[in-house]
Amino acid sequence: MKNFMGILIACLIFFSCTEKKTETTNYVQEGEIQLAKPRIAVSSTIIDSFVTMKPEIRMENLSVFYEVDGKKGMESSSKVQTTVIAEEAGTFNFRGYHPDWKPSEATEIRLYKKGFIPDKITWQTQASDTYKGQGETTLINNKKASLKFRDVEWTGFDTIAKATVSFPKKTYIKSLTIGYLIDPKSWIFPPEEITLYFNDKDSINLKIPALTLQEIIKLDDVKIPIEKEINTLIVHVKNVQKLPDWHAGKGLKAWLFMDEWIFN
Amino acid sequence: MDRRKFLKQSSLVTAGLLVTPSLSSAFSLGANNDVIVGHNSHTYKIDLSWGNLNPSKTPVNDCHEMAQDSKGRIVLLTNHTKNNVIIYDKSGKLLETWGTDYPGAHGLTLVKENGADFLLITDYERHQIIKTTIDGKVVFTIDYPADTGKYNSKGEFKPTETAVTENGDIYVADGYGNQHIIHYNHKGELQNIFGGRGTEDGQFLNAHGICYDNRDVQNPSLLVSARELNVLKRFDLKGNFIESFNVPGALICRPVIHKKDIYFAVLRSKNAVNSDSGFILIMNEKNEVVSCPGATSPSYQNNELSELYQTVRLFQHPHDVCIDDDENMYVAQWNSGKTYPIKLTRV
Repeated sequence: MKNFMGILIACLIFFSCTEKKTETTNYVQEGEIQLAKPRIAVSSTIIDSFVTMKPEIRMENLSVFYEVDGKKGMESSSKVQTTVIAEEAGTFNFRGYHPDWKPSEATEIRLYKKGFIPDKITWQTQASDTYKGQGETTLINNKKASLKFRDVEWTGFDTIAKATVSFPKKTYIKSLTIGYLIDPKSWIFPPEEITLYFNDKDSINLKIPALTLQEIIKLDDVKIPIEKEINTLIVHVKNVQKLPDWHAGKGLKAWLFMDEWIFN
Repeated sequence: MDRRKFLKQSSLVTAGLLVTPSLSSAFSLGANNDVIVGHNSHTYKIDLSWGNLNPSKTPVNDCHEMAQDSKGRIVLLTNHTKNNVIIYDKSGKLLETWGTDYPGAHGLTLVKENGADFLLITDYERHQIIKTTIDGKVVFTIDYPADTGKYNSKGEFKPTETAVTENGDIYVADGYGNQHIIHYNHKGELQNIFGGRGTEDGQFLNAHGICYDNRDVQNPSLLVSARELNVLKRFDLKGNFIESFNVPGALICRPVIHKKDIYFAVLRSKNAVNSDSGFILIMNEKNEVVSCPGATSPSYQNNELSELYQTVRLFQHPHDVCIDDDENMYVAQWNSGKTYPIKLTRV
């Protein structure tokens, strides 16, 4: 019996060794490569009553989860069944999950509550002829642009953007949100400085931190608290005057691309 | 020991072996969790270590194109002038290198003449096509086609690819230049020019790749990728437009015909946020997309191919594919951090 046991163990070890040889592999294993960010079809990013967000599921066994306003981790994530409906402003992060692949980075969708529409906008400086958007009211038409700078909802300036915004009557404005594009490879940077003038004597000045990320394309925005009753608002948005040392256009001016000014 | 006791003890021993990590794989025949990419008839396992070399001795910049020679060796063209041509065996072992004079080495076509292998290299920085022996001796060069009247200077001519017919005629795609296809005979004498920049049927935006399609022996033709348009176009050998195939979302590099199928590296997905969003595309003999390793599963609605895009971050900027005689695929990548090719093993 001892001999039998010995033979059995020897067989097991033998098969173990021979099998291990055939299992040596250089092939990519589960969880080593990351999923690409999921694509999300959004009905609008400016909410009038509600908007819908629907992931494209074009891969077998792909699940998409989302988080709202910076909550992290699976426990605060919700699995998207078909469509996400949102009635409130917020930042939604969608991630793809799949048994074979590492979870994706997040696709960020920012939703904005529809703002108060000014009566009139008068431009003191002009957008580039090539990137003049849908006309003078592009920035107050309640339509956001895509990540592509050729999208007709972008208004592109290679100089400071100056405009006067008029409201039909004295109106309490809580804040102004300015949406812009970041695409440094296309020489498009965030604003360098924003100044608001209102009620003859008041002004607000805001400097935007310099961009350090080189490999990025992103929709971003800055929300400027106002909290005053105003009739007329003068807005100056300054483009970056000198591109940083790491950029191919070092020392030259950057483009400023804005898609919407939202008055809350 | 009675039989019951023996079974109990032997099963304990076996269980012990199974849970010992170093031995447990003896029975885990399916323990490898190799991931599979691709769809339908064309699926692959991924080997990222194939062909990796010491970059201080055998460096690469962009790996532009690859071909398999008559000996079964895999020939890689890079624009690194320490070793523009790197020759591997199919296992990824380095066999030899040559070439220091091709700073814009881009297109690589293997030509077989009377039992010998030759290479056609397009160099968009030298603005030339260079024919060499398989071991690197220059046979002849073709300069920019001044006689056509379509070029003001050699700088406008930035050839990206060649295709060669059975009689030795050479077709050159000027994919980074004025977007013409230039036809030469086997001696390098100008025969014809067609195409040009534009969006009409017979024109291109980035005529990046060309190949000779003799799958229908009675009606041989040329396939040209119009990369920025996401279209593959077919011409007869005189340069007359025949038909086109839309591949929405796919910036296709050169078409590579292997047996009845056409393979493409796709540089990037048209509407992706990140530019390093490439994948592989495979068409069957009916010119239908059947598999897209690294991308969405191909699907047709009302005979229109749905937009394709990257789903896994496997490839960065795939630039060419080579299919070997075992049906395995080698993927050369542009602007991928000086990485060596990726091998896809057909499942």
